[in-house]
Amino acid sequence: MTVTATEAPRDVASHLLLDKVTAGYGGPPVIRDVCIGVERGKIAVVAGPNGAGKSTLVKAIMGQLKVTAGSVHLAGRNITNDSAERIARHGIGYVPQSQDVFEDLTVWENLEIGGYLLSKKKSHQRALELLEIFPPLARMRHRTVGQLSGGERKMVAVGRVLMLEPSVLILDEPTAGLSVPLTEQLFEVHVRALADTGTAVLLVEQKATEALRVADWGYILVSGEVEVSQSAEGILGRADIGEVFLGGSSSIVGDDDEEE
Amino acid sequence: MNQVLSSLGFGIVTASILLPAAIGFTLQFSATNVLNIGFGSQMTLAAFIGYVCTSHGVGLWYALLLAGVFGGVTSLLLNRFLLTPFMRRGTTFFGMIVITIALSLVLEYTIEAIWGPQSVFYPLSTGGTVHLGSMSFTGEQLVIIGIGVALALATHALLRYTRTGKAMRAVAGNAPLARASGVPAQRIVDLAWMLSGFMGGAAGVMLGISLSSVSFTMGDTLLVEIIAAAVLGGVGQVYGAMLGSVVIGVLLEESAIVLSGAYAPISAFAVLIIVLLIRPTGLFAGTAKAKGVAA
Repeated sequence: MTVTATEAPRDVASHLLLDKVTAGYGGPPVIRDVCIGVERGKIAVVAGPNGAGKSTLVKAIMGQLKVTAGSVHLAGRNITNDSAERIARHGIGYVPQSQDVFEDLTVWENLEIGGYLLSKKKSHQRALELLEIFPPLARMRHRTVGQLSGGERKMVAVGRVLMLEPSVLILDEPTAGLSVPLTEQLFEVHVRALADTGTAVLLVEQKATEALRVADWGYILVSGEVEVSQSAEGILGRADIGEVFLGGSSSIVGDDDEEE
Repeated sequence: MNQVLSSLGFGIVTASILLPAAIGFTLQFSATNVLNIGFGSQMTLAAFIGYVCTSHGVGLWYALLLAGVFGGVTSLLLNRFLLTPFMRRGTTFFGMIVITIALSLVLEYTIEAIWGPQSVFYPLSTGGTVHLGSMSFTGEQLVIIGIGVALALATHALLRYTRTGKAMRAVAGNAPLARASGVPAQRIVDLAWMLSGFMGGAAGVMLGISLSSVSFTMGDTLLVEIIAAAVLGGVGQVYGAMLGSVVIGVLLEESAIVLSGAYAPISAFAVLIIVLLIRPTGLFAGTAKAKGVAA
């Protein structure tokens, strides 16, 4: 990856930085002047109600949607409106909310596609490493992903994206459709472990309480603008915020798509 | 019984021609979600290029290879410069079909304008036939069977065992995710169209050899059979297309026993209608369903 953890002192600018990003689908902008940053080794959460522009934000970072104003920086380099392929090369890994796996391919082939930019040998090695990190995947490596359960598929999706050892990992609503134990496992075991290895993690969640518990920093997006930017602990401690910004505390996880 | 067996022989030849054609058609569809009605005319054009080669003294099988290459290059160019620009503008699925119908007509009548409405003939050897029970094959038919099977096996090996082939399946299944994984999707799509054009071109010449002549409307009948084979297997499913080709190929020739030869294509239509009624997603349901094309 472009920069290692030791080269990026904590007090310097964030590893992934969004500077006043404005983007939308051709009409009026869906997100306006969004400033967000994640450091290496840290977890940041972007939360907010349905339609706040969370998916738009992710698509703008990932080169799937045009940034009309502002800029996106990775390790100090301007990557605004780069193509999706180049952004993958830069070291940003992305797990979309849905359609996050190649259903017709086997678990192993999903990992191979994740490692498409690596040499054949390197890709093989890395895939074996990931099967060690996610032992259940090792047992089903030859199964077609379309036949797996939601939790298993999410594991494949995360494994696929880790093939390139991204310096930034963006997870869009990763827990939509997952059970509570699986959600906790995903956050507290895997996401934390990733951050500990120096990855900058950006978690996008509608129901963000669980996510904020493992996070360092939280951003709350309302109507396309950053309404709150505060330490995760601080947000969780605020009395007023639960119902208004995190979409209440009902047990049903909102996994429906956003504004599109 | 003898009649059934000897028709089976013809069926195997027809299936071997349908194999590359249906694989090519399906590869295009799964790569870009375009149901290319012009595919039959592209095959006809390649078959005429094969004829031009043979009439300039090129050997029959080299002509087939050259026609395949011609088919591959034109297919790539058509996708890049005609179909992709429309796709970028957000043309609907049915809009794209209309464009490919127009393409089909333009190609067909261009061929007629150049080579005329009469059939042209490939120079075939007058060698003997090989007998296998009540089936008999000419030497050329045996080569056609060999090429058809070899192209199917090559496609299988490509899609299963090579990086490029796996990337093709990934792009077909989920292009945005493939791109986000660093797969150069446009190049992969180009390659898929080139390959499908090659398959179509080769199949065009194979049909010409099998019929011993080529006419400007040759692709029309064949297109129905290709679509029947593709739909039977599940549109967008390469392995389904392979199975569909064998079933349709054999069925076409066997039905010629009951129906008179000229009416045999009806059985392809019949299969198409029955499949659409009973199992519109085809035997290998999957991609087509995911893309919201079939019911």
